[in-house]
Amino acid sequence: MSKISTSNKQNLKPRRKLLILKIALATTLGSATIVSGGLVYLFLNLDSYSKQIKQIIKDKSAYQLEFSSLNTGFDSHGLPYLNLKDISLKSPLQEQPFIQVKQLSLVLSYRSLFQFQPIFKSILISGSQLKFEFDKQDNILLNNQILTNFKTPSTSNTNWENILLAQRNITLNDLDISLIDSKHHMEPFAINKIKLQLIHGQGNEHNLTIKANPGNGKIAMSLNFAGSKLFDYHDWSYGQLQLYSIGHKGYQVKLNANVTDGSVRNINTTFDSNQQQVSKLTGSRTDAISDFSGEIKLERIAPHNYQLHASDLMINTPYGYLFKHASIDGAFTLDSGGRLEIKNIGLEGINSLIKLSKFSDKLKMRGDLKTIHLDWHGTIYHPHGLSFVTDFEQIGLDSEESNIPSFNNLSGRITAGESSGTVALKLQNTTVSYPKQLWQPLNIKNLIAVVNWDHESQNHLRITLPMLSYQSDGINFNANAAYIPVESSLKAQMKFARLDVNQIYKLLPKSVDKSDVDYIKRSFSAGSFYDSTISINGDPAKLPFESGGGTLILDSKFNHVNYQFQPKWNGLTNIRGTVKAHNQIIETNIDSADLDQIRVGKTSINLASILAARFVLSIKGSLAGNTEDFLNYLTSSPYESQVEPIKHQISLSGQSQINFKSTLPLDSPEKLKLAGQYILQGNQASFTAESRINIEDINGALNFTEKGVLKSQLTAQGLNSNLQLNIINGNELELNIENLDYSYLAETFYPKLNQVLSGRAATSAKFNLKNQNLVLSSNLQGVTVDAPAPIGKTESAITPLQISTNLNSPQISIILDYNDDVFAQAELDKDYNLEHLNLGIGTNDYTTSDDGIKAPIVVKAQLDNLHSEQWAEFISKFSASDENNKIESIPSNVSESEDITLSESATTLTKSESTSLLNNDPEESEEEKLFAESRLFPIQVEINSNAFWIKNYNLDQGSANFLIFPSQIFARISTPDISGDVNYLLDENRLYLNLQRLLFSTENFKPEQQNPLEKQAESEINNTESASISELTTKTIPHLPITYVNVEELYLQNHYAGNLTGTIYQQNDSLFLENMKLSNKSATTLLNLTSHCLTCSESDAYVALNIHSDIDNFGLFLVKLNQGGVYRNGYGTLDLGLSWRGGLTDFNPESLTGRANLDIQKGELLQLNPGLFGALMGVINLSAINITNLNHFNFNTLFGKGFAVRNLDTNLYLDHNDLKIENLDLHGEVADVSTFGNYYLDSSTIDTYLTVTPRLSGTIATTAGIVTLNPFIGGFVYLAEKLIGDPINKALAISYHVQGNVESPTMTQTKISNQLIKNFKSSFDFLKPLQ
Amino acid sequence: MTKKLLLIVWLIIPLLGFAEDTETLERKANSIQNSASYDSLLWYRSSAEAKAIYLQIFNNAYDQILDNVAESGLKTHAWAVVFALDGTLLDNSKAKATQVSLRSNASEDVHQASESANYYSALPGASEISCDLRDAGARVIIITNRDGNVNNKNLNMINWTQENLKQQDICYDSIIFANHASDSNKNPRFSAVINGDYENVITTKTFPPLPIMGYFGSDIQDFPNFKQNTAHDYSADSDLFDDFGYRYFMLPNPTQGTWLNNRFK
Repeated sequence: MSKISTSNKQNLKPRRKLLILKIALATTLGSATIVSGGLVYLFLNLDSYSKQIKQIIKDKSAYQLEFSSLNTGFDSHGLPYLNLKDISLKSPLQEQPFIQVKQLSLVLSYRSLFQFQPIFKSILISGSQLKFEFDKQDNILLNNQILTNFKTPSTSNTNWENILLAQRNITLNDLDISLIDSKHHMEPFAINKIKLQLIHGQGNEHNLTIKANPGNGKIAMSLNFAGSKLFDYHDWSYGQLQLYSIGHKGYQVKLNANVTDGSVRNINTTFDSNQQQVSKLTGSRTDAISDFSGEIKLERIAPHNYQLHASDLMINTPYGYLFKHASIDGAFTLDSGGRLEIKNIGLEGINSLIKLSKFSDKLKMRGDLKTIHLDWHGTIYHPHGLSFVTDFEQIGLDSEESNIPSFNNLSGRITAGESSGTVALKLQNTTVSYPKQLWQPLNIKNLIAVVNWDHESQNHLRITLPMLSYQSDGINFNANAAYIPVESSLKAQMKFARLDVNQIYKLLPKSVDKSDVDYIKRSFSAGSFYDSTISINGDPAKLPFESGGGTLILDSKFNHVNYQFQPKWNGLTNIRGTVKAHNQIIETNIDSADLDQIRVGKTSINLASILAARFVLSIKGSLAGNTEDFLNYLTSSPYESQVEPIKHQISLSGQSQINFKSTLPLDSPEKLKLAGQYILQGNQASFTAESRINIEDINGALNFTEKGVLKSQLTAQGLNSNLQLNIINGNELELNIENLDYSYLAETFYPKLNQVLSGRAATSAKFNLKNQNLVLSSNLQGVTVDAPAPIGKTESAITPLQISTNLNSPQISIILDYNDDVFAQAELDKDYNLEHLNLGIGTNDYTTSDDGIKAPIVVKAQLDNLHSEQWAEFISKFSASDENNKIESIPSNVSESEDITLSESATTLTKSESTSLLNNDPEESEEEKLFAESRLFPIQVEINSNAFWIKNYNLDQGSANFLIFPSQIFARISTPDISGDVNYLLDENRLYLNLQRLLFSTENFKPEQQNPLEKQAESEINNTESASISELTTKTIPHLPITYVNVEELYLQNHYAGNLTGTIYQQNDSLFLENMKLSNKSATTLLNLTSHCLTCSESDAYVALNIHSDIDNFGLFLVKLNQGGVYRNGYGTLDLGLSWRGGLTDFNPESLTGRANLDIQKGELLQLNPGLFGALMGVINLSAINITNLNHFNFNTLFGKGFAVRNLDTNLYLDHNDLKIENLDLHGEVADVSTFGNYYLDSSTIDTYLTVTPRLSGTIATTAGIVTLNPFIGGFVYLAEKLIGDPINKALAISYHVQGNVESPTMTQTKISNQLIKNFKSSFDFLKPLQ
Repeated sequence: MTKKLLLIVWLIIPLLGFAEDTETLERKANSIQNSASYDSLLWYRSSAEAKAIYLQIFNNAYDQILDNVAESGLKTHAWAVVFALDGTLLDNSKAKATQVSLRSNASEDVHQASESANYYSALPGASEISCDLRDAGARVIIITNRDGNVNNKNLNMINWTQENLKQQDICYDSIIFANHASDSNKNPRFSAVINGDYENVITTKTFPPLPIMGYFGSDIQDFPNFKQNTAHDYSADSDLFDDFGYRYFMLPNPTQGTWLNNRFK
């Protein structure tokens, strides 16, 4: 009321001004009356002054006034009138006229004269268009011209409202009005053909009638009021408003309102669109409202106290009802508050309202607001203490607006006071879709939430969420929160009763990267969180409080979680543990889990910041289980290709544990960072293909990262050695065996190797996983190799061994380097069967001299010394184990023996040698073995040596080439001392020795003088070598092949001995040299030898030798026996028989028994001198006799320069060390010499009797005869000789007893009795045949 | 003017050619110098020391042998001296030198060069010692490992050898050849001389048994019962070397010999 008083005071000033104006007007009218005569004339001819009028208006207002006609006159009541047609008022700044009016008729009332203001009896304005607009700058525009501004209204002293109400009748006809509210985005509103009439009644009564015909309807409004203000009903003493809106289907709006004494008494209105298009009334923007109806009553029940009742309100829209039988009831006072209750508001209809806004049709609501209770205090114009309560049900919102989520089935209540309120929400089977913020729609089974807000003081709002209960598939939690915006303080707690892991991704907002969400969705397939709490305390805008300002704490347990961390791997299952988060840090601790069959131990997974652009997990944990399970697990992992072959080859058992650390970017798991240890505890390993290798007690840790294995170390026991596996890096492995037991290694894999290999040595094997290169190396210090040089070594010697191969290639190539003395290149197929072998001993050049043959196996040796017996012994150690099988019965003659099938024996040696080296699979069939063997033939062997040795016999420098086939061996040897071919037929066990040259000289035996170092080395290598070759042969006598010997050029002691042919064969266990024939210019010699019972003991075995020579030139024969110069020419025979106990190599002069008979005809005994005797077949040795002592015999006189011989006949018998000279008779032209007696070899003494009988025709007879005997040429021949003259003339015979040391015997002239001869003969009992 | 230009061109062209030749020669020389045999060949073929040592050995040998013969009381033609041929009387390094020098030009046939009609030169003093000893009553017998069986359209080894010796004024009584290319053990041939047994020996002449009072060789295997593969390991003071300087006379041959089979120590 006080404001109204203030308003009246403010109106006093214009009233005073109006009074002055009235006076002025009266004065003017008076003056006008006075001058009316002139003025009447002027008025009646006013159109003649049109130009001047337009000019005056233009000058005064700057507007250009135009009209088509101007009529003036006086009506029937004498009142002046003025008619203007086609009026336009145009601003010079606008092209379009400001106002256009078709007709303006004014009839002036004489009241103007009395009331001193312009009062017209009638004002008619017809045919105009008024376009009102309220723009964004708060300007009010009329026909695009600014009239005024709301914020800065122009002040005017003119009371236009008073002037307007003073007019007697104002009629606006055919008026088109449009309203545009650009500021509030209101739909433009236009009504055409409006007819408005304002009629001044009695006193201050007025009647305002408006009629319009919008669309097909009609609107009629009648306002009767009594008051001085048109737009302020408070000024009215009474007022009545009636409004009718009638469409073609009936009324639409009927409103009746009454005002009494400046206040509204009642308003009654009914409205019904009658299913007419509202837009036709209100414009196209109201298309959304299709129908409406209802009744509203406002009744003043007491001064300033009203009651409102609206019933059966219906507003229908194309989207549904906004009001459906809604009602509004309430009461209020104008100055002390009120209350309203609205029922049944349908939200579908709101969609139409929404369409009116800028949200257009992107939002679509549904559901009902059941009741809205509204209470307020204060005036109705300025309410306060507003209280709002509404219940709503099944509200839904379909939103295509990205910033507004869609939801359905929202029920609840909002209770809002002016400073506090509560929202109680209930969602049931609700789907919340918020694509802008959520990757997945939320499917909420039940959600109950209560939100309170409390505006405690100005700008101090407190929002609390005392209860939130959420339940959806797999998610069940309760929460409460409190939020104070001004403090940006949020305190919230969530308790998850259950949160299924596979539902988490549905909760994740889009602030989490899509790849992370996909990873979580893909990786977590089962399990749930339980007993979970989330506490938030701080500014929610700073969540998750990375840099302080609050705390975010999450604490939860989880179990039965499955986590698939790699698509191709078996994931973690049954994970149990806890997860804790503090602000942006998330820590997950796994108590247990299963990785296939592997048990996962305590493991922690940390996420350093959930704010990071990418989620990176830090994981630390452990796994434990059976090693086999680990391998099984890896076989179903991306490492299958690497692990599968190993798994097929190696069987691991035992316990293993993995401790690891990892960082895992969820968006790109391939960038996984991993570090850890794979700990093996007491594991065992066995190899599928090789059951003999068992590695036990494997302990240690394999350090690894995501890139592979790092430097690590494992220890184990295997091969009877301590094994240490060092992993250098992901690609390089190193197996260090500090004390690899080579004896055990040999015993395990190739027992025969154990005969030559023993000891322990540090050994390492390096393996490169990337290129699959395997290098095995050792210096073999501590290992003894009992083999010929350069293979053999002493225990202390350092002989580097390196074996390298590549396991990746389909064809495995093995390269061996042993002390730079032995080189090998072997190629194996995928089954590790040997396909090619190049073996170099003493050389790495595998190119043999014979390139024409492409042998699968090529052996080339370049040796300084090649000791054949050492190599034979060495090779024999790899022969078949059952040596007894090698001695087989052979038929008694050679021809029969040729038919023998020698399935074993030496064939076995070679076969087994190659077989055992190439393939030792016991399961392999015989055929497979043969096939395996045959494809590796021929074996080409080339040996070049600076010295070929047979024991200590030096065959000189040269070469030997072998071409070995399964059934035969070809060999060619070439040295200065031996050259020729050898062909050995294994199946038949035949050996063909076809030598071009064989040179034998005792000078080729290695002299005693020897390099001490070599001696030492040899003795070290051959610590058992002191055993003679005889021991070798007696120990392991192979079944000797039938050997056919043909030596074209045989040299003995540098003498050409001729051509040698013959056969050597073994029968049962006896050796025979049969039909050995030696032919040269001097003689043809036949030799037979039997070595009986090779395997017997020396007491049971014996050797018998028989030689028969047909001598063509005895002198030359002696030359070839290195006794040249003794005799010239002569011919005859030599028969020699010798035998001794034991084998061939048991030859010993002391054990010999034998006989010799030499019968030579013709010839000439050359001069007698020391050299003569010494050269006589090496048997008679008088070189030591001081010939000067014999001068008195005048031998030179007797024999002169030569002694022509008619016959030389001698018979000798050897009984161990006693050579018995039965007779030695020399019949010459000048004398006969005969002798008999003994030569004791052991004491080098003689006891002989010699008789010289000069022939009568000869010169003076002198006798001399001394015999000494020495053994000659072990094993072959024993000869004795004595110069004896065949007595022609007994009378001249002179006898001597020659005795004593053979070097200086004494000769005593004596007589030889028959008894003496008889006694001598009796000593020949030993000639009994050998057993 | 034209004449001057022609004169300049005429002078320059040979110089350019010379430049190329010089470069080629240098390259060839470098190649030769890098050869493993270069030093030994250089010494053997080009050094004064080589000449001196041959003369020294031959002179001393001559005196020593005659002393031995006198001491033994052997009569004229009742004793023999044995010479090896290549590397002892004749310089056979030519083939190897040619081989080395031509290594930079492999198009030439080395073997053809070695079998060409060009004879080997006598080594310093070889002619003199052979003739002096023969004059002193020795049977000069040459025992060579040349294959006496080589007799084809390109080469008759016996004739070629004899002609070479004759050309180089080497005095000798017989030449004993090897029976085969690999018949390098001379001991049977020494034995043949000593025993007069020439069965299965290729010789230009036979003699009754003759004691050999002197051996000349450039390889240890030119001496009786020596084998390189053992002898190289003998101690220097071994009795086995006692005859050297008295009956055995070793001449240098740093380019060829059985010693090439030994391992480097």
